Amino acid sequence: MIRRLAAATSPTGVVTLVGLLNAVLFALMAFAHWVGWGGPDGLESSGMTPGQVTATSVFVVVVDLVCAFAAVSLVVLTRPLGRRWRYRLGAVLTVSAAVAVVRVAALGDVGRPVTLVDDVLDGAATGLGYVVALVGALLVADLVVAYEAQMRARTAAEVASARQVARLEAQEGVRRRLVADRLHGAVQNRLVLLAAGIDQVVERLEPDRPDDAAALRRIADQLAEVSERDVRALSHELFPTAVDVSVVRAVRTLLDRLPPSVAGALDLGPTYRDLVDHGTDDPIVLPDRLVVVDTVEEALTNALKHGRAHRVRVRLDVERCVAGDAPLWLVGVVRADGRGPSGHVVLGGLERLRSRLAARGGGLHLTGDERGSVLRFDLPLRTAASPEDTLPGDCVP
Amino acid sequence: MDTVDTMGTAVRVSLVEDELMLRRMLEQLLHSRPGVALVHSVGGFQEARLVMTPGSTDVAIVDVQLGDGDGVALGARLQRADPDVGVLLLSCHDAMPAFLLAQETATKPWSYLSKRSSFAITTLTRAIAAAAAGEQVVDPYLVERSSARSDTQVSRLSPAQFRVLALVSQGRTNDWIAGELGIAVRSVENHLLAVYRILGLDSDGHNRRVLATLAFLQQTSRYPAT
Ligand SMILES: Nc1ncnc2c1ncn2[C@@H]1O[C@H](COP(=O)(O)OP(=O)(O)OP(=O)(O)O)[C@@H](O)[C@H]1O
Ligand SMILES: [Mg+2]
Repeated sequence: MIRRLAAATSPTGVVTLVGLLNAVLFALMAFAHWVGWGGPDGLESSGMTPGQVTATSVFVVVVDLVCAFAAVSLVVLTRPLGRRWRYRLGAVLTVSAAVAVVRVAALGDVGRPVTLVDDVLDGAATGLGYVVALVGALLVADLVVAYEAQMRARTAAEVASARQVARLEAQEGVRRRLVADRLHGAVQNRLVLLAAGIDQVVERLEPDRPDDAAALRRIADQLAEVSERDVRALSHELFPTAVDVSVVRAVRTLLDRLPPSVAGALDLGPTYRDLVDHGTDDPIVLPDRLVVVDTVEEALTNALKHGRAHRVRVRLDVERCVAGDAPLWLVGVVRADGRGPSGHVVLGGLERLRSRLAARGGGLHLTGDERGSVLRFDLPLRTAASPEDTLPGDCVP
Repeated sequence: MDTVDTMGTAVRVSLVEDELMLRRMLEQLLHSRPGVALVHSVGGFQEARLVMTPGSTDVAIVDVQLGDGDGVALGARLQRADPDVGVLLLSCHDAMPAFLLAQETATKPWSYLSKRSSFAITTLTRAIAAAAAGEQVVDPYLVERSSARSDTQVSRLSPAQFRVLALVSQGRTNDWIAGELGIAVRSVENHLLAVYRILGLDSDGHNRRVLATLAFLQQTSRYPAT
């Protein structure tokens, strides 16, 4: 209830709304009271026609409503929110007394024996009614303000922790990338150089000692294999291959590594195509790229491992958001044939990705049946515009 | 075909390689070749961008992974500035997806060698000549370990047709392939015609060898099932 109220109106609006509600209820109660104690009968016995009685009753209600509205408006005009209760009570008491006096004066001698005592009693009751209505409204508004402050604090804390996660991720990314680069540069290049050196010896050896040459060549092949397969796999674990260049190239690399029995394809939506321009110069910031590529890799692994798929299709597109602070959303869909997920699904790798996507404002959803699976994910895109998310050395000129 | 020099003028080659030791070794190899003039040898993306002005290079030999940028992006950039530049991509690992992506916008077919193969002088020379002439040489190690993906056009080739296509992908001439397989040149040509038909390359364009090579690379895997 409070949440709805807070979402719908400002605290001042709440004071007005609740105050009016209370005051109108009070006015109706007063009217019912007047009727109950024989107000209309009194009027009739004083010689009024039924038409005149009705007109007078309407007049009483209208005066009550106008007074209620005036009381609430006047209190709102004193800007009571955020003020001490002494000030508020002062404002409420003054307004209530003034409006009560006006009301008594306006109603005059309608249908009542008018003595001074009657007027004082009536005025006091009316004023008290206004005080109760207005203080109640202020109390509700306070609740709303407190709730809003709490929500704001919570959102701020969430934003701060998301930033912190993103910063740590970025630092982690830099370190991983350094190590992966070393593996590539130092280790792979050395191994390749060794293999090439052996190749040259093999060539000289071949005419005279073909057996030794063949044995040596096998050693060179193994070195090359270690470089290609083992070092490469390590480096990929640390930092998905080609993710430093572009999502497209990294995903193509993942598809290229699918076993020969599995057909993989990548479709790019038109907006995405415009954005990335031939798969180089990717404008998507590196941390976003890492999440996207890791998600696609997990989807492919799952499709093969759980679904025994033979066809997988990755689609990437960008949707433009009409409103909101992230105008571009990346939308990814990985479709696979084979057996899709069924029954109760316990998330493992996907849960980790879900929280990584969530930390960046996105999400994922897995569906499927006996004919295949569909994993959808999305992510608000940070492009080169927000430098705090961009890693050094990240941009290709 | 051991020499690059076909028209009497040397092919002007530029080398972009960030690993210093590898660069020195390649420089030595290139200097030893008649018909090759090494005009630039630089260690990174930015240096290459500054030094390799349009018109100064016939063939750019570019490491796919440079310390300060992406070799494929550099090659594409060089060809945008000068569509006649041939590009020979070098990599110490399998960078086939990057190579294939680059072909989509290439003004002239690229060639691709693993670094291991690049130290075999005859292979290197062949690849430089191909890059200069608008032909294509793809690394023999990578081609030799390729197997057809299921349900592809390449998977419908006969073993002999597959073999001929694999050798074409390595930039071999029909004469050479005939010699290697011990068959007549005429048979090689017939195999190739069948290959083109199965791959749907009906038009008689002179780049059918290149198109067939790209189809071969796209429809094969170099990673056997585990
Ligand atoms: N493509 C798919 N086809 C069929 N089932 C799937 C598919 N993807 C996910 N599942 C089901 O969803 C479950 C959760 O997948 P998730 O990747 O989160 O965990 P996991 O693969 O079991 O473990 P981990 O990823 O840690 O190795 C899987 O155990 C599987 O039952
Ligand atoms: Mg999994």
